[in-house]
Amino acid sequence: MNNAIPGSAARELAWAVGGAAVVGACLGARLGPQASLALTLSVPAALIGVAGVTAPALYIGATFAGVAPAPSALFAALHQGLGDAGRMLVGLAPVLVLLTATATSTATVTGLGRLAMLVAVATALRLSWPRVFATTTNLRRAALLFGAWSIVALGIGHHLLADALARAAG
Amino acid sequence: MITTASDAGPSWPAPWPALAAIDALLRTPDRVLDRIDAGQDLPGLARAYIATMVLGTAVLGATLGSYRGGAQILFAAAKLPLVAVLTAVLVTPAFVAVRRAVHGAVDPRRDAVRVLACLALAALLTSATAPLLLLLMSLGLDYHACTLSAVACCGLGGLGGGALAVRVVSRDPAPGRRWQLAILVVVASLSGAQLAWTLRPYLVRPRAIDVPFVRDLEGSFFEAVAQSLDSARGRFHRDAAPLPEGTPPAWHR
Repeated sequence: MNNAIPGSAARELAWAVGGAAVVGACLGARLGPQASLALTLSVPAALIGVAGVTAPALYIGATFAGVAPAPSALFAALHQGLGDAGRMLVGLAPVLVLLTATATSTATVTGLGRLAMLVAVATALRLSWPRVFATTTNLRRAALLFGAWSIVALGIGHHLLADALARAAG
Repeated sequence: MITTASDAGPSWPAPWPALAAIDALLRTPDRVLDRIDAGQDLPGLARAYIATMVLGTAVLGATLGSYRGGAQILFAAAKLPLVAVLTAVLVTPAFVAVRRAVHGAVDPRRDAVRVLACLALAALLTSATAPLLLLLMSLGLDYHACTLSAVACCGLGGLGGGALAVRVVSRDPAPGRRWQLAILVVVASLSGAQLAWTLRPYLVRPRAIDVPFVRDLEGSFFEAVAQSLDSARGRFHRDAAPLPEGTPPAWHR
């Protein structure tokens, strides 16, 4: 895993974009065709955007703190984490369709969307933790750094997702 | 001791020597300073550090500009790199002068790269706080609190650059190390802060009607921080800020 193969990274990103687009489409289906299109584009954009904005900060912070692996290993782990999140979202899509189809309020639909994203991203973060810091000796420092980074990334992602859902719901 | 990038621990692949130099700056700063002392690839290091300063401060500027949104994102992303580069231009002569006073003869190129390395590290660390600023903005932090948060983030980055400056002067066997460090830190802090203040705004007030590229000079940076501290505590120096019309900024919709 020390040298990321470009094809593998592209595949993981495709899963991330595809999974988020599927969830966006599921949520939007309940809200109307325009909302469906908007969420199909904005949910993947939010997921990839947050990863793109926050990953360099994790790299810089971990490297400065002396707990970072090789850069290629770190980014390979993050790519795989994005792929995991995408696969989780695809797996959650059928349940999401059922729950949103039977929901009577837009607040329930948006809440379910946030919950699905939270479960998928939290799972991906949990799986990424041992991959990113597989060769680290100072696990305590690494855990503090990764925990803080995860909270910031989740917070930004939640804001972007809430904004996208609010716009789609009108 | 002459070292190479490959001796600096895990690094980026060979086609990316600039990224290897930046990685080494974060991981093994002492080996980076060894390279500078040996005069190894000074132009390459200088280019890498200038690029790091520009990119890191552009990221921070874009983050600050996103508070208002629109053209302010580009304006702030363009101005903060200017602040960083001009700070380097102002600090280098002062640092060379004090080292010449201590040693009698110095290599200005090595000292310039040392200054660039410290500022590049500060810019990198400051850019790493950009997600935190984005999160604080998304939580609805008001203008004054955002301003103070931005100052604090820049201060954190500056501490990182200062730590590297301590390493730089600690290598010097001659007396006058503390004086060199004091000159470097004080000149960098004062010039960087005042340059940033002169080229403001970055974090435009949400109610601002216009978004000027540069505002009129109105006092110094330190007077402005004191005023923001008072405003954050509810003590205002004027009756009201100008009331604009138009769309609220992106983070406050």
